[in-house]
Order: sequence, then structure tokens, then C-alpha cells
Amino acid sequence: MHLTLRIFRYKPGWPHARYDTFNLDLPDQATVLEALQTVRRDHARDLVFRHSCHHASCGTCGVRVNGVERLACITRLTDLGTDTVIVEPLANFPVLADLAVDWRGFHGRFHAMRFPLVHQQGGEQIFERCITCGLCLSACPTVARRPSFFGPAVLAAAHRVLEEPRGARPAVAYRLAQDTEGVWACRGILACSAVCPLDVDPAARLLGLRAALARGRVSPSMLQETALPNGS
Amino acid sequence: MSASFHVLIIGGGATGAALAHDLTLRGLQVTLVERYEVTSGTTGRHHGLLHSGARYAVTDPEAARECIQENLLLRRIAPGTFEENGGLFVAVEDADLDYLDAFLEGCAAAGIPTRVLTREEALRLEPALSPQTRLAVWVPDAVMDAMRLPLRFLATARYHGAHIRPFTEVVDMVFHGRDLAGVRVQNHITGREEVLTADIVVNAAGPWAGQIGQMAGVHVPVRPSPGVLVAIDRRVTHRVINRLHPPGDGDILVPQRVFTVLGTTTWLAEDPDRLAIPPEHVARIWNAAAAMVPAVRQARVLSVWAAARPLVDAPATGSGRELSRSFRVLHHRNEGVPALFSVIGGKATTARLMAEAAGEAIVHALGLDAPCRSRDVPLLPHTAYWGEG
Repeated sequence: MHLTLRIFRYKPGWPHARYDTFNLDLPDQATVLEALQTVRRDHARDLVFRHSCHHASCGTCGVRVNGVERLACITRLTDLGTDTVIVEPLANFPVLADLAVDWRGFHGRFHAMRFPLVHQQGGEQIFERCITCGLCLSACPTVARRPSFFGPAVLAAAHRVLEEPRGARPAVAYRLAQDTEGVWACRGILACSAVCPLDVDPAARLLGLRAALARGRVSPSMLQETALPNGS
Repeated sequence: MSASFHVLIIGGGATGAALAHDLTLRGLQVTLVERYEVTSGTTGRHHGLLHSGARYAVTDPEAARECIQENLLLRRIAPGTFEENGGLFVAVEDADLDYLDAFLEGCAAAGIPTRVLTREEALRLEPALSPQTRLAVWVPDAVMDAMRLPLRFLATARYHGAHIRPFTEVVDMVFHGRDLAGVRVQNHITGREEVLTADIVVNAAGPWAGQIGQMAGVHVPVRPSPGVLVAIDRRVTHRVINRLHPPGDGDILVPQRVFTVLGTTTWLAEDPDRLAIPPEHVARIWNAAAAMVPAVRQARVLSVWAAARPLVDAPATGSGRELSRSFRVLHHRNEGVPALFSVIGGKATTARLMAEAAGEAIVHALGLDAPCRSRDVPLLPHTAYWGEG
């Protein structure tokens, strides 16, 4: 397939961003990520973008494709319905360079809660659905006009930590949720759940947590840190 | 604090990450440079198997023993990084049963616990297994998050003083006369070139290690050996499912979250950045997986991708499966570059062990008494990597 790719470019110190245009021939099943890798390999060796797992597990390849939040690794070019593809970094984050955003503040909140990777589901261990990709934060119009709002992913994760503390920090999750920039700032627009690639339904979690807090259903005993079963 | 030697590591995959951790614990100054995002090379793309080693029990006993030891060690220093549900080796044809005795003997010799399950027991554990299942063998396979385990090594190394520099690409080696003094890098964030000096340079670039070696005028015997992987849109089993037969194509299903990764195939390539996916490999993987778990046929493909294993080159050529998956630490003093080491081969499960071996060689060359501590030091959580940046 033949494709015209317009990619957002920015390096620190530039007075403004620009869009670079590339015309590519790619295999029919190619993804946005493969298109970016082709550009980087053959045309723009300094193109900065993140990727790692190539299968919606690591959460690092989030971008906006023709204005919509997507994971580049699982977005097939043929599914876009056009051969002109505009790729931009996630919104509502400062840009680090090109398509990579500075997401230390975002990840810092998951770290503050010690958001765990694994949870128990019946007799089985399974990784948390949320891969902290940030698509929901980018899509949220409330974050766009109120940048201090913690946003969907963090508050949905807070709900998970309060639901299943297992070695995390539920007191931190509680403080994040109860903050004025926490669950109370959500306007219920639900753009977040619409773009989540793992069907986390962050809106349901956030609003469910808000309801539980409003009804006093989050008790102090839930805020104790608990050890992991092996004592770590 | 007394001045200590500075080691520069090229490559931010599992090997580089584990080595940064190992060397900081020995008291060395470490800078790690990675041309793109950390783990964006081969490491991030593997299916996530934390090997029990059973897969190599018959064909590569050394690799099998290394795997089970590291498997248990990693669960101790990095708890909460694995879906610890075990794995099954499944016989779905009578011919598979011929492999059983050698498999069990090999596992026993390597110290890999096993438990043979009848067809009924296996189907009770995994209802999605083929009705053709004859029996299954339980092994302590587990599933790791391919990126987030190395992030723990990187975060811990940085906590102990390492400088981790992604989007920093080595474009040349820097020699002062005949002595390797460091590297020239292109910083892709700022767009500027820099020279980074070091006492020791370590080439941990995985399948790109040959290209890095060429910059220093040394031969690094690594063959890029790609494989195709396929992720489907559902989790069809609780645990890892392997085929009970000699290692071959398409004989593993690895559940992750709400998806399953099916793998894999093998061929040899020249350039790890130019991997065309052979379409027949996808069909081969699909059919082999469906033979073990028929529900695969109802699934939708989420992603198809390739990654290049960094296999240590052996004199005999072949398809790639014959090349040992064990690793090698090379000190290039015999080629006139005593400040350069290469760490090649290996797999994600044994990255810490590769780093220990490389660390030993490096401190020995520097004349230091600095034992390895990575067996005993717990790792910071993965959230620290970007969260404490």
C-alpha cells in the first residue's frame, strides 16, 4: 500500500513544531508503528518515539493518529480508511521530543501508590489490565482545560489499589482520589473509556470510586498497607 | 567517595539493564546509552516466558540448568513481576509420548520440578486444551512482563548512581591513539553530538552487537535470528502451554493479561532492522497453537511482529534452532582493544546471570575485589523508572 505520513516534529529549543511529510510503500498489514520504524530507519534517524512490546502490553507507543488516541503497534493502516495519516504525540502532556511526551508526573502518581503489576483473580495471577499508556489522559477534555486534574488512568488505578491493596499504598490512593483534583473534578464525559485499548473502562472505575467515597464506603481499615503473601 | 572506574554500557535491553545493576552494586560508575527507548530492541518484543528451562532439558542441559536457577532467583529479587501460574507441556499425538521419558530425565537432571498429569487432570486445569490431549507435564514456567522486569533493573541501577540515557545513539568509537577512550553519540532529543569517555566500554547491543563491534574494528560472533510472534485478542488458557516434543516452531502459547501470545518461528537474518515477516510463518504458528488449544481458531489477531534473537554464532550453519541459546562474555584484548567487552547471546530469563558473568570479567580486568551482589538485592518496583525520573 502507498501512504503519505505527516509526522509532528519538535526538539527542545525549537521556536515551534513542524510536520514532516514522508511517502512510503508498506506491506498491506502494516501498522502505524511499522510505518514509524520505516521512516526512522530510512529517512529520519533522529525521529523520537517510544515502542517496546509491539502487542499492547507495555503501553509506551501511544500517539494520536488522525486526531484519535491509539496504540501505534496495534493500529493497522488499512483500518484508518485513508492513505494520508497524521501522527502526533499524546495531548495533555508536555512534549519531550517529536512523538515522545514527558510523562514523569503521570507515572509518578502510579509510583506514589505503588500501583502493582499483578493481581489475584480466583486461583490465578494476572497482570493488571491498565498498561498506563496514557491514551485516556490525552483524550480527556477535562484534563485539557484543567491540567491539574489527575485524570482517568491514575484515579482508576486508585480504585484498584483501594479494592485490592496487596503491597501497594492505599492511603496514597485515597488521598489522590479525595484531592480536589481527584475524582470530584471528573465531569463524566467518558472520552477516556472510549479510547482505552484494554477495556479498563476507567470512567466506570473513577465514577464508582466517587460513589463509594460519597457514601462513606471507603473505611480507614482499607487504608492500611498490607504485605504481599510472601512477606515482601 | 573515592574515584572509581567508569563503565559505559551500549544497549538498554535486558542485558544492559541487568549489567548496569550488577556494576553499580560493585561500586562502579555506570552510564548506559540506548539509541531509542529502553527495551525497544529485542527485549520488549519477546513473548514474556520466564523459562522453567524444561524446553531445553533434552537439547541444551546447560541452558536448562541456568534457566531454573534464574527463574527461582528472579521471583525472589523481583516479586510481583510475574504471572506465577506454572506451565504445561502437552502431548496431543501419540508421537509426542515418545519424548516423555527423555523430557522427564532431562528436567530431573537440571533440577526442574515436574508433575505428570493424566488427560483428565490436564483438562480440569485447562478446559481449553485439545480433546486430543494424551497427557501433560506441569513445570514451573511463569509469565514476565517483558519491559517491566528490565525497568526494575534500570530503576535500581539509577537509584545507585547509574546514568541511564535513552535516545542516545552510539555513532562511533573514540580512540586516543590505539586506546579506546569512549564513544561518540547522537542525542536524538537535543539533536547534538557528544563524546562520552569511559574506562571500559561494554557492547550489550543484542543482535546489533556485530555492528557495534565493527565500529571498534573487532569481530563479534552474533547472528541475528528473528522469529515471528502473534498476539490474539483473548486469553484462552490460565497458564503457559508448550508442546511436548523437541523444540520447534509454533509450540508455545503465553497468556498475558487478557491476550495470548503465540510463538514462534526462526530464521537467520543479516540486518535486525530489516525483518520482513514471512506470511507462511503466521499460518504455521496459528495451526500449531490450535492443535494444542482449538479455541485459538475463534480468536482475532491483535498483532503480528518479529524480533531478532541475538544468537551466539557457532561454526556449523543451520536454521538457527541449532545455535546455542547460551551466552558469552568476550574481552577484546586479544584484538588489541582491552577496554572493550561484548556480552552476547542469552535470553531474558538469564539476563541477570549474563550480567554477573560480565561483571566478574570486568572487575577482574580492572584488578578490583568487588563481588557480585545482584543475587541478594531486591529490585525497586517498575513504577520507579518513569515515576522517579
